[in-house]
Amino acid sequence: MGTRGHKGVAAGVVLAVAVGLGALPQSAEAFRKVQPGQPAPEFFLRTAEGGEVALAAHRGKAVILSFLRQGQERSAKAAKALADVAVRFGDRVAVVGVVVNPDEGDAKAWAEGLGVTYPVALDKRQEVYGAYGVLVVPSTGVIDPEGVFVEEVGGYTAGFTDEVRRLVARALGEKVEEEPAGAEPAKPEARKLAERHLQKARLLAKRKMTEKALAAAREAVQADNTFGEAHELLGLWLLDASPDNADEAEAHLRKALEQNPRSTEAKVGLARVLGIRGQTDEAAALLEEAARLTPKPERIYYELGRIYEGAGQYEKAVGAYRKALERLLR
Amino acid sequence: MGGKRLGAVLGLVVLLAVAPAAAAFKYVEVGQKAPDFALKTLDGREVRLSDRVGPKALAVVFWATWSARSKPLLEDLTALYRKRKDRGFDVIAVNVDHEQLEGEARVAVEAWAKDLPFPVVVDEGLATYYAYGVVATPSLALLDEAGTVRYALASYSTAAKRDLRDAVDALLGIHEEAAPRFAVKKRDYVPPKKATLHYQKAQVLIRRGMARKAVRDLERAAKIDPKWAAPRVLLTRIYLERAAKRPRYLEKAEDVLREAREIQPRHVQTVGLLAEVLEARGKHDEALAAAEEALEIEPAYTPALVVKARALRSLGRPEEAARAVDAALELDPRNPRVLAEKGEVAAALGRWEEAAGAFRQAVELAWKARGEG
Repeated sequence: MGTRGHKGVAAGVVLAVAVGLGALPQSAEAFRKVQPGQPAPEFFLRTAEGGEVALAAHRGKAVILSFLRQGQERSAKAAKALADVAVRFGDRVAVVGVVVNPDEGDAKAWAEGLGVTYPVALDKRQEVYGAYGVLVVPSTGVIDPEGVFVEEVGGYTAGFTDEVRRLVARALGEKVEEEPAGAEPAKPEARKLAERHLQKARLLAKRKMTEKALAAAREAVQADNTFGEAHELLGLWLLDASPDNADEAEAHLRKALEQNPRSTEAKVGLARVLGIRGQTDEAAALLEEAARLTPKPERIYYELGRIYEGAGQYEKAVGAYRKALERLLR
Repeated sequence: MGGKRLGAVLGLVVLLAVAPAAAAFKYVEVGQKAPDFALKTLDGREVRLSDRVGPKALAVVFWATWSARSKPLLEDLTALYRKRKDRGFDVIAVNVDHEQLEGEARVAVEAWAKDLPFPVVVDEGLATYYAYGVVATPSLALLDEAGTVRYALASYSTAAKRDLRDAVDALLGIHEEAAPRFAVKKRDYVPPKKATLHYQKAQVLIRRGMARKAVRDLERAAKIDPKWAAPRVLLTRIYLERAAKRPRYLEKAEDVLREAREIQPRHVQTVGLLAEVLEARGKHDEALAAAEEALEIEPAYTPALVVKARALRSLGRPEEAARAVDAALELDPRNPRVLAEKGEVAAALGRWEEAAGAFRQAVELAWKARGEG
């Protein structure tokens, strides 16, 4: 992949893009009609919420534009992953999901079910889909603050989040992170086995077979000790089962946070551990921090209320519950 | 006009005269088609409302084992059903004990259900309860053979027993005794079909999160039928959501509601909402008066009790507020807004532990109401 034609585009941007491209692993060309370094096609669409979204309205921010198919598992995963990326960059990035099949269900409900809070546009006549020449769904493109297309990621694979994050960093002119080195990713076989154990654990938990679910989750982390999701669930279930499990739960929750430092659930769990030990202030500090980093802090304020209430600090508990309710009763 | 047709028209006129001005639901009006639902019986059979519509009178009753007035209502309905089923009366009992009916609660519901001669369905996740906007448990909607709500009941007072029986008899065409007593009552308003269609479309749009589009249909419904308050009430609900960001919508909402009250003075949803708007605008005295007015129309209208409590609290009368909120809790103990107000009242009285407990329940219930248990 070399430099490309770049008529009429500011030289600095082209240079940045070209340098970036050289460093990037080959990415499937998911958009046929848009080339890196070119202005991204404008669009104007209605959103599932009943509002409108236009690319031009986001000048000055990096834009992640993701074409999604509602009801499709990979699109769901991509949509959720983008919410994490958005949190990381705060208001310097805008995420726009474009549902390419708005007539095949309730796109709003679908997006809400995934916890998506960024605008989800409805491409009813596949106009934007066509203008970008989308080949596979999901496909995710990044556009820089001046409206220049940076690069796209086709499909959804294990490295999706990191790749999008790198592209956004590049669009914002930040130093591009190196490929994750160090911690050797667990062998795929071990992860697959662990995933099977975890799946079984979830089923058992759903049927309220707590002991068996815990055993299956323990097998999952034994099979793959770098499986953050399994550590997280195991830690949370241990706490649900009994406060006496606080020590074991803490070990797993810390492990989960090592793998995924932004996991709200793991932080909430850790705060509960601290609460059980009577370290109310530490627990509260952890939750306050977590609340700032998530677009949906209701659950965290609720946990904060529980911890204050458990410690007999009722007035503070009321304050925390009120914050959760303000958002829930809107 | 043939004799049969004339008979039908006369029947309708009588019917209109029969329905007293009661309101059991926030989102379903007398004169409107009852929203469809498909719920499962305790043994897993699906019952769809639209499949059951057809007898001359169909009662849909929302009940719970924890609600004191549910038992007498179910008993009276059982007696009425035995007496009138051959004349065309049917009942669906919708249990709203919990979002997820399991364990002891399920056993209790099963014990009640086995004595009931009509189908009992479970409102999984309370979706139907929220879609209708039930304000008190028990509540009842009486549907005619087209599925239109002809009578609604919130809570169940001793006086309501005769009302209910007479409303059923009127629908069944057995109105000799009922008619004279009801004839003097103010009739509930039944709007023209075209306005109703716009209104229903707006409701669907709102449920799908397209409130902006709904505004147009509501304005049309209001224009077609200048005597109908309901579309104005719904319009106000949209304004109120916007008011969170743009306070001028509060003023707009107040104007529309005052207009609606002129049109239909005894429409409890209008007056209740007006009270809410006045309270939000800081006009506590007027809010209190409007809440009292709504409660005079329908003593079991929980939203008005909540505003009454809030207004009293704002006026520095927390003891009275506590009485209002307790009355609301008795009618609708699983409503997060009621529990939130309970928390505020307890906090105003300096009872922080009680306040924290009420607020916690409010958060948990609000979650469940959104289906995020």
